[in-house]
Amino acid sequence: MILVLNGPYWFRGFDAILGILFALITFLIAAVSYKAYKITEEKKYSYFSVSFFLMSLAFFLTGIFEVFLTTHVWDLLSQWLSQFDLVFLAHMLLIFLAYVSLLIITLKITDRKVIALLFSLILLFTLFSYQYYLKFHIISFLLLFFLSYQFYTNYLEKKQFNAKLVFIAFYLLTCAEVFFLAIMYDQVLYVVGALLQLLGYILLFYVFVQVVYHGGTKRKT
Amino acid sequence: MAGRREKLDIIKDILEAIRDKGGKIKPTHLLYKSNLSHDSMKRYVQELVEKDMVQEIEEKKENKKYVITDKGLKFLTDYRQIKEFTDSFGF
Repeated sequence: MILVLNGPYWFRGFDAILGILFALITFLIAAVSYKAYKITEEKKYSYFSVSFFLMSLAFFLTGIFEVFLTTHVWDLLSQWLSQFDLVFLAHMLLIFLAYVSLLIITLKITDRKVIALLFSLILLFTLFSYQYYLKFHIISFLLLFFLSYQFYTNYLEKKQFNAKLVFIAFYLLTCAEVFFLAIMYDQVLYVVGALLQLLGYILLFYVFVQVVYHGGTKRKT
Repeated sequence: MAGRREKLDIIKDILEAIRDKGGKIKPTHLLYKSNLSHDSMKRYVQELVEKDMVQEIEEKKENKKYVITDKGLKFLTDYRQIKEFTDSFGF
């Protein structure tokens, strides 16, 4: 079973393009955080950068693989990888690591035992898993739900426009997971999920532009 | 009461104090503006001098002043970006 390809047949090319677009957006955010790390030398920026870089890698991997599969370029490699669901497993692990890292940074978890426990659970979920698709989207939903709640708390505290956008973006990403889970009822729901994801990442890109080009300009909520 | 300032905020406050005085400030004025003890201020200014963000000049004898450099001004621009980025994601 090729788990990377989901949703209606006609959407597969678009899905590949979306994957590469998400990879680019998350890479740009990782780059801003890395720049902050170089200036401040504070580790929290490097961890944040790593978590977005992991997301970028996950989307790039599936995006490129989907291009191979839909265009039938490199068919032998595609068949071999899909036989073991390696690409989906790698995507799953990278996304989980990214979300858990983000949770650790935003919740300011410093206890190493808790951090080790979280990463161990994620590894176990990924490696000793079956029904990958279902588990991936259920766990992603849970992690994104907690991230959204944390970003909502941050918005209430800061009352800043960008903080509000980050919360809405992660809220949309959380909602997208519900539609991805519902594709057993109708494959078209996958497209709805992908469009919500696209909106979420467009908002994150808008925040990136605001920070880079208008950093420091006061805006009302 | 305001919370304890982080090192990044203290450096920003020092550089802003110099910039707001036309790019040049007397040590006594900086001490007042930065809200630091004499020893702390000297330590931070020394670090900024080493990082080429501030220059120490003597206009007349016994009349020392601190001048913000281009690198110091660049830091203030970057600081606003970093602050906005940090506040957006709340970490």
